[in-house]
Amino acid sequence: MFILNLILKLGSWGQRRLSAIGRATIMLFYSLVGRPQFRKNFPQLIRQIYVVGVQSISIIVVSGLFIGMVLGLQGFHVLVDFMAEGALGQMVALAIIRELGPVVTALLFAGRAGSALTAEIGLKKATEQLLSMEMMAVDPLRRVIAPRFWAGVISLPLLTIIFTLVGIFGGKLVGVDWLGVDDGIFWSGMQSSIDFWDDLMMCAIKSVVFAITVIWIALFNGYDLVPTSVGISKATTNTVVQSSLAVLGLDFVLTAVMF
Amino acid sequence: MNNLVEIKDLSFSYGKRIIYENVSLEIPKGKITAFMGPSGTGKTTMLRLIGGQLVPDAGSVMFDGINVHKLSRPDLYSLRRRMSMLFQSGALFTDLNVFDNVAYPIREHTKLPEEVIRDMVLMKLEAVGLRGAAGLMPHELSGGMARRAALARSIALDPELIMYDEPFTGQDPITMAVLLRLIKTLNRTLGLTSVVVTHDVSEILTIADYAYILAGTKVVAGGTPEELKKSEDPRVRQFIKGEYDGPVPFNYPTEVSYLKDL
Repeated sequence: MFILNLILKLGSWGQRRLSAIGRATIMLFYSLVGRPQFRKNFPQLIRQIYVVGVQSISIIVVSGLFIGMVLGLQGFHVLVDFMAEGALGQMVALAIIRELGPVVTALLFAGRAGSALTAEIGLKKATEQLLSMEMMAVDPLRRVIAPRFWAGVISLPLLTIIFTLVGIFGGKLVGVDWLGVDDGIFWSGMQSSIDFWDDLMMCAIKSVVFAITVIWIALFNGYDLVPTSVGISKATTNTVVQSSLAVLGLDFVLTAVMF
Repeated sequence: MNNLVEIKDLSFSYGKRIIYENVSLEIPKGKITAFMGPSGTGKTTMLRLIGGQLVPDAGSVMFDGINVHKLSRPDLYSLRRRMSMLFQSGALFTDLNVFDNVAYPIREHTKLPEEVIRDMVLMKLEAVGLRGAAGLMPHELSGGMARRAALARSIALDPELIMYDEPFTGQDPITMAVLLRLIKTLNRTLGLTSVVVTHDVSEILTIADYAYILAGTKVVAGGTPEELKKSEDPRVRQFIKGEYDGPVPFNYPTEVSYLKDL
């Protein structure tokens, strides 16, 4: 009896998940497919890039700097035992470009911008703003969801670039300026070990995939929530949890596939 | 009679809960029609069915001879330009001020120059007495002002049909009188067709040309205010007079008897 109940619960959970994925796909399809309306959507897009991207820069810069500095510090203490502190530049750069850059930026982005988007859209839904848009013959998918989606897809890769640059700079700050690794060896080791396709392109592909994932999850959770105060708080939590898990899982899959 | 909206044999349910069963009614052109009924009978649902936001299980909704639910998504959106709805909460866009709220549908659907839009918006705002409030944000407005601002936005593009969803709920007597007068004047001066969903019976019957009473999945009665007031039907009498006891049930329906439940 217990087992049967468990199977039943699992089944209904799976069914709910599947139907949510279906609704999310329909939402994205209707927001993106159709004649582009540049005149009306472009100002919205710029505004959203400001909200989603520009306003996230400070947290990205600070986190990037500290992660780079910690990497420099930890890496130095390990490498110095083997008299290999010259490889510090290579280590910091590889770690940040391949993994930490895209992943940590996406996680921070989910917490900073994703949850805010979910709450904003949820509140618009709860106060009937989306319904009233529909009745004004304005499609909220095209006018509310689409610009936010593109803003996220454009912003996150750019934020990843900023994070990566600042992170490497942080590693250099600790390794070279504080602990005394040779400047030339630090940079040349990095230069010789980073490959454009294997490392930089991997970073770019990852961050674009993460951007689509995070922003899609955030928008759908806002658009699909139950319009009550409990519903909104649940949906914002879901956004952060689901997109963090999705980013970490996808990171593993992408790394496994591309190497 | 010339009808703008005709609803035939409409059935609708949320999951297992039946809201409407074989409902038919007409909304005459150029008149004010009231939908009255106890809370929770799905009066708002009826408006959303007319607007095509909900799809009925059976039956049809014809708007000016067009079946609303047979339209493709783009056609439905272009049909919605001819109708407009005033939501219970007003549903003003909270990130825009009153002026931009009213200008929103005009900017969306026309390519008029900004000076013309400005004049249009100020005229609509003057009609609801809020020209002075153009620069305020929605959270700075009182409930009644927010509803009037939303009303200005709903008439911004001169729709043919305007649907009011509980426009009087939670308003003081003065605001109520103002809104009543506005609905009547706008209906006459703009040549609109108005549908008002409400349970403020005595107020709406002073301005409505025609009224329906919706209760328990059916249209209980329909007629001019005079006809309704004279009606012998006990359900109509109970509702119009606001009596506690009568054939319209007070209890939410349940399958288990009270005795058994305890």
